[in-house]
Amino acid sequence: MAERGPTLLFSVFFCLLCYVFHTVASTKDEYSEELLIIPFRSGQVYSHFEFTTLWDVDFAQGGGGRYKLQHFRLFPRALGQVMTEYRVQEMHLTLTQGMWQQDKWGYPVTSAAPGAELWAWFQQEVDDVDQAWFGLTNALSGLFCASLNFIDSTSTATPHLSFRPQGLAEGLFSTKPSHLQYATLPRENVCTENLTPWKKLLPCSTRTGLAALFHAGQLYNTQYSSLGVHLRPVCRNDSCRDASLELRQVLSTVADPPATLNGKQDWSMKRYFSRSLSGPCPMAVTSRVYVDVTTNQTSSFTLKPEPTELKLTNYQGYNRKLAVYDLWSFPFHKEHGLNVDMKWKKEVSYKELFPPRLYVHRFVTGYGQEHGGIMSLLYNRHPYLEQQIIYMELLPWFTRMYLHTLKVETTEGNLVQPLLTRYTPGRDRQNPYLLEIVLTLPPDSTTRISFSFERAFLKWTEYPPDANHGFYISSAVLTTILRQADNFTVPPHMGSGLQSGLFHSSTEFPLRLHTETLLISLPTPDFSMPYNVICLTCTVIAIAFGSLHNLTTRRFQYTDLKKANSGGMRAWLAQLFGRGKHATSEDKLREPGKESEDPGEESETSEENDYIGEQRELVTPRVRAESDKKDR
Amino acid sequence: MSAEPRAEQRPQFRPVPKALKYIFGLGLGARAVLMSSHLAGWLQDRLELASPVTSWTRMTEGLSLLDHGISPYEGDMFHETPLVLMLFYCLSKIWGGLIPIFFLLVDLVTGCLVHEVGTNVCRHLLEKQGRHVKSYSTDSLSLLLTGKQLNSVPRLMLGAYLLNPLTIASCAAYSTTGLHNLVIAGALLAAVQGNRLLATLATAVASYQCVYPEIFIIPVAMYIAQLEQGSRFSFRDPDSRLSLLQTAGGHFSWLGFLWALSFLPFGSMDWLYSTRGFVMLAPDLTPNMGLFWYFFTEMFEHFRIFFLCVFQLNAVFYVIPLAVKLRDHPMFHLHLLVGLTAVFKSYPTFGDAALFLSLLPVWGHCFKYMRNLFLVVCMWLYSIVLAPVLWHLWIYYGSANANFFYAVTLAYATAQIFLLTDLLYAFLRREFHLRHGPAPKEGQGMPILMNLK
Repeated sequence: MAERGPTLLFSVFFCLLCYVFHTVASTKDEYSEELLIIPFRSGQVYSHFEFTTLWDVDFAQGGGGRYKLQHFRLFPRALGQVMTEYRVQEMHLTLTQGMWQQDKWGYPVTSAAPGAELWAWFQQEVDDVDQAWFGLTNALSGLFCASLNFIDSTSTATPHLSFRPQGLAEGLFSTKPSHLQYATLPRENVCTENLTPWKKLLPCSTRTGLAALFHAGQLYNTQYSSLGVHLRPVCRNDSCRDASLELRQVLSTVADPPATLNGKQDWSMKRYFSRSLSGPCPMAVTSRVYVDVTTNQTSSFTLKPEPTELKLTNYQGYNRKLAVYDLWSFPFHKEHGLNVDMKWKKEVSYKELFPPRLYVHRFVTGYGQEHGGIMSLLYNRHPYLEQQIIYMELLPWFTRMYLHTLKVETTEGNLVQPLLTRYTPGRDRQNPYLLEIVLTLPPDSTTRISFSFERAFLKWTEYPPDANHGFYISSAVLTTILRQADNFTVPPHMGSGLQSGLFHSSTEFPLRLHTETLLISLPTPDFSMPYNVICLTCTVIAIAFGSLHNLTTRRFQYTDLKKANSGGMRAWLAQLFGRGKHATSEDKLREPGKESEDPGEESETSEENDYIGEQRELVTPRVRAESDKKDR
Repeated sequence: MSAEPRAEQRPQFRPVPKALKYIFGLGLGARAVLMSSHLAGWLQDRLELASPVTSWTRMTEGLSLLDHGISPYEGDMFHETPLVLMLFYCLSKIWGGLIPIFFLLVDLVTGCLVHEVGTNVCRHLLEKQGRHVKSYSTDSLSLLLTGKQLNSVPRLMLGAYLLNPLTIASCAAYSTTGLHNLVIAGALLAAVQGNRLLATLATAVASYQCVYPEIFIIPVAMYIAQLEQGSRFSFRDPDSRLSLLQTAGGHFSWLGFLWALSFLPFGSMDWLYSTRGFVMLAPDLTPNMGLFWYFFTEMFEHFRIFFLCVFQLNAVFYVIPLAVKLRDHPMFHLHLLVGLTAVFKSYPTFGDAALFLSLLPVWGHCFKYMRNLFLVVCMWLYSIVLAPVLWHLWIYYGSANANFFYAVTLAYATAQIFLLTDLLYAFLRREFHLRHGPAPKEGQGMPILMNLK
């Protein structure tokens, strides 16, 4: 029996251990990595990386705090803790360098505003949203080395229509409209320092898998480059009884081979990422590369190596051909890594491009630095379908928007009546101006939204160091649900990962487009002037104060200059000219005075003489000129 | 606004003389022509004529916000008072064409009020002279007022208001400065008539509308107390004190009433911050003809509050020394305050100064002692002509910078300060000569210095 004691103890301990592991393992998580490569007609090549982590968190368990995230496996702990701390339900952060050109490239998989854009839905239980938002922006700022800590009330708004929750928003996840916070930093520069912390969140980092292609020097030597982190609760299965937490990490770049290769469009992983793939990330369930070869019929290219699979998709009559490389089944042992290589037979011919059915452009109008205007052109090129859209404009406080100048009309001059206008006026140094309009764009039309604004004059300390560079206005956002999907680069996916978007049909195509950011110049003061201005203005005020002080604190009095002894030269001169020039008694009154010669004042204190000295300054310049000049 | 109905009835009592008809016709004609010309749009954005408080563009924005069901005081675009907003809202709802007519009418009524102020002040001065003439020096007969002024001065004032290019431009720009002038002129008229109820109401309306006329209550209270107490008036006399307190109480209760009335349309007191708070804190640094904008643009952040207090105190503080010095002349004091607030307020326009200019003819008898009228006139012309020019060079052509426009505003402020202090000097000197004769008696033929002691 004595021997069985430790065995029993061990078995109890083992059972306990098993139980602990069991509970931990019961929160299942899954990771997938995908890359989509699309060569555009214009010659540029779009690469979109998508890393999805799905975590079956038990949401109900945490009681009040629904994201009681602990025991991290594939989900990045750094991000998870921030989400738990600030009770974030949904979070979308994009850091973008460059401008997505809708009319040339169609729609991106995930649209992003130039600069930094962050929007988050907080859980319903959050009481002080501003405080949570402040904490979140600061935490993310540290996490991604971005200037998100500069987001404050002047750049934050709560749009009511444009940014609906993208994940679950019912039952356990229902929230309040006021719990949405949206902010942009259009001036944000995105570069390596943002990429490094971003790729550290991936389970395999950049050691293997698709992320091995990330070479900062190459990624930021492109026309467009965008990083994204999207977090949302999604349905765990079709019945949607349980929810999972989905983290999408997205990286998109648009390389421009014709610019570097003299008009040739040839593209290969080795050239544009300076690496080739050596294998999938071992943690990944799915690890795939898709190449869009739909255009191969018109401008043919050869794709090497042979794809593991060719897939044809069809949504609503729009065919797409995709070459698929499955990294799990790719024979890496035979080849020296996977280097997707596209070689064109001819140079890019710059023919007519086919802009998508719906796109938007925005620009600044007006001249001078007093007023200005913003105009957006919304193109609906669909021949017979109207399109309902939500247009959102977020203006900083220093461009004071005039709502009464808001005009929505087609380029033919027909007024378009907005279905709904939501406007939140801004406050100086506190809130931005937020405008949301719901419109119906007539078929085959261009709609013009225009309004004017007044440029504010800032305090000299409020200008950035390079004041004459100008100020950025963040992009306007157009949100809509398209009825036909043939415009899409990739239809949005209700499920997780690119795969679901690429191969599953859908009837709704929610779309968000970001317009150009704008650069406007504000009038500047002279930055070298503070001391001068303080001195000059105070002098003017002192003139008023001094004169009024004199006139209100003293009385008029005759002073007999004759009695003024020891006046010396000045008194003598005054006498001389007084006698010579002015005969009338009236004029004598206007004689310049040498106050201190008054005998009556000799006995007075020196303090009063000081007063009189002051008075001389005030009176002398104003009296008759001739005698005064000679006096002096 | 309350002054309006009274004023409209006034001119009907006696036949309007021919000269007045010409002035009315010419003034209104010029305004109407300017309003209908293409210059009107340009004038509306002239910051010399329209400050953020009085600008018509902002008023339109306020009306538009109201149309959208948003309180104009939620944002930072609108700073006029709720009652004025409601007035314009009703006008625009009835018929858009009423608005130019309304602005014409406002200027017309202000002109009439100024005319009445002139008549009443002149009468008051003559009466006062009659009472005090025994104490005047026998030599100073030449300085005395005559009945002639009773006729010419009001007409001159009317002309100075209605034919002043500044008020014409201001009216054509739809600047609510015209409305501000109306309520201030109403306050002046009510004050000189000496009816406590009306006077306190009028000053309350004026200070409700333009904030700074709050200080008018001091000379007004003194004037009313002097009317009641006559020669017994003194700051130490309990009866006088009671009278002063009654007037102040009346003023503040009217003001409270107006505030309560403004509470009704929006159900909140947010407007108080957007109107009064805006004028007091001067957060909008858009250039204007005042001294605030560039000073606070260039101010160091940690001194901002201090200097804000100094500047606002500077705008209102003079009422105290003037009340002591001019305790026998509250009307002159009141008129000086109109001028002083026009210079030192945070968002002044040309229109504010124009009202003070039109009050000047009443004190025409002091002009001969003024020393730098020529300089003042030159500086005025300089700033009026150069302000738009240098503004365009700075903002549109980029060939000048902020300092150029700043220089103009400095010159403009200096000119007004010279004018004000000179007027005060001339007034005090005339008073001195009235009592001591225009020339000293002893020491004739000697060079005699007239000086302040």
